[in-house]
Amino acid sequence: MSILAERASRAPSGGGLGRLVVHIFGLLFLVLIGLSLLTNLLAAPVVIVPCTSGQPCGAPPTVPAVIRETAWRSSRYGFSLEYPASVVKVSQQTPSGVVLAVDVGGTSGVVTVEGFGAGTTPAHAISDQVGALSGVSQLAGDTNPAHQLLGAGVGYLAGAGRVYVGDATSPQGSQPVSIASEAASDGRVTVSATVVGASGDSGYHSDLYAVADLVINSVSWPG
Amino acid sequence: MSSPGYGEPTRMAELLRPRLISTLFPRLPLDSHRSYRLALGLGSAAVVVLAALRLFPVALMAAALLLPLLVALYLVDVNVYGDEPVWALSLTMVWGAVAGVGFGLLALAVAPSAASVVVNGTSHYLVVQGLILPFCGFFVLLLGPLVLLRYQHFNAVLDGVTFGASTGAAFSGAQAITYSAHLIGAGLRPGGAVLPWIWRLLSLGLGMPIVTMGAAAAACAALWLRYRAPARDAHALGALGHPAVALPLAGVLVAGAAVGETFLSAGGWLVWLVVFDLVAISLLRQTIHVGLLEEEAATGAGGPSLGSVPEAPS
Repeated sequence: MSILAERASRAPSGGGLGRLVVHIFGLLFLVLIGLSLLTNLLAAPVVIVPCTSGQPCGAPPTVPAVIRETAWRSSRYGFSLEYPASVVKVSQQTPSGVVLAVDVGGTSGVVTVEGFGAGTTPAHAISDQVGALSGVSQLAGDTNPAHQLLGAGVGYLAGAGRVYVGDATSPQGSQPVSIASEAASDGRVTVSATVVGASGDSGYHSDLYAVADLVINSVSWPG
Repeated sequence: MSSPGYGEPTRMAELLRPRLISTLFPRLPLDSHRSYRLALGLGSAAVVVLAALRLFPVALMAAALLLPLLVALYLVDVNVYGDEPVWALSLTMVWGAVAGVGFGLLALAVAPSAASVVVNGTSHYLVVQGLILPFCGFFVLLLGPLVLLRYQHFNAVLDGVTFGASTGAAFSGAQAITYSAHLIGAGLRPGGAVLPWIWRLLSLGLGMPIVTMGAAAAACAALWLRYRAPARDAHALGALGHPAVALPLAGVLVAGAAVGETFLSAGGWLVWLVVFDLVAISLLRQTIHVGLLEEEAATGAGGPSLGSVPEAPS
């Protein structure tokens, strides 16, 4: 019961639908859900057959021309890496790691490379690094078999690898992002590298991942 | 907020009680409230179920369309537009949808890349997407109902409330779908943590639209109260009923609700929005009460409107 003043009758109004409102709403809402389901099915990306480790899997990704390799070294952990300065810029750096902003072929992303002490396992390093990412919401492991990392490692040392999906959110809505993270340890230092980009700009055959591979493979272990 | 005639504390407390359906749909007869509450509840439950099934893009579209659909049903149900439905509908729901699409595209254009957000944090989009766009978007969406202010046919304060609420609902839904269009191309079940998704869908589908609807309805009500209501009611709400105060206040309410997203978790933003929803609904109820009394006085059906004699529309 509301204490708001009772509504006086006004010519063409009336609430004529009565209890039918729920039925009509339910029907229309189901139709809209069905339409959006159909739209999503039609717009869904082509299913990619998962690759098998050690087996050829289509054409290799195109790597942008490496015009100028620039070196970066961690003053705390002693590992170093190289990156093509034509498409990669240092965005942030600390004694233990560096954040590289990649802008290549019209796509952009971030490669974060960070060192950890010997006591940190590669799996923990990945969790720490991904957990510290700001601005990514709804983060969860990517269970799509076609997206899994095969033979993950850093600086040609085998290690652990994980892929995630999340969303870059704003008050207006969400945009999907993909995250791939690899880490390895030489027994003295653990290095973890994480690539973040919009889902549309990511993937095995993307320029972003090709540049990230260059950087991750270039890691030189200390000593 | 003082107004003559609101003497009893219990009556005032009741006015401030946030009843969603009777506030957003003020022309609805009392016996229809239950049906609308049920429809809203079922729609919200459907969104949560879709999210729990990890059908996030479908859940997002369902959440964005939930309130606009309910508003459209309400407009048909009570026949708000009378004999002139097409152009009046164009200036409210269609205009809201068009403005929502426009601001969704604008937000996409000015949004920093995912990489930039990771590097710079959410502060990178706090000002533009958190404050400026919601504030400006709110005033753009009011342009449609403002055109209707000129027409004598829609001269009641409750008309303003209805036009503001319906435009706000269409704006919010269209903006959310446009901005999140990339999600549709990510597949039917693109992955992601379920619980944060549910909080987020409830924020985008209910929390933000309700505050936008409430603020737009309150702003329109202030305009109608000032320029369409009988002169005796024009000052009924004091400063809060004056457009010079009500419009910026409503804009700040919408921007304040939106900016919470930039520094809160998904669940935290939903709680933040609920607080803003309560404020918007409570403010709006004051205005609706004046509108209802105005109708009552105009038809001579009931008691006095704020203790004064009815006058001809200004």
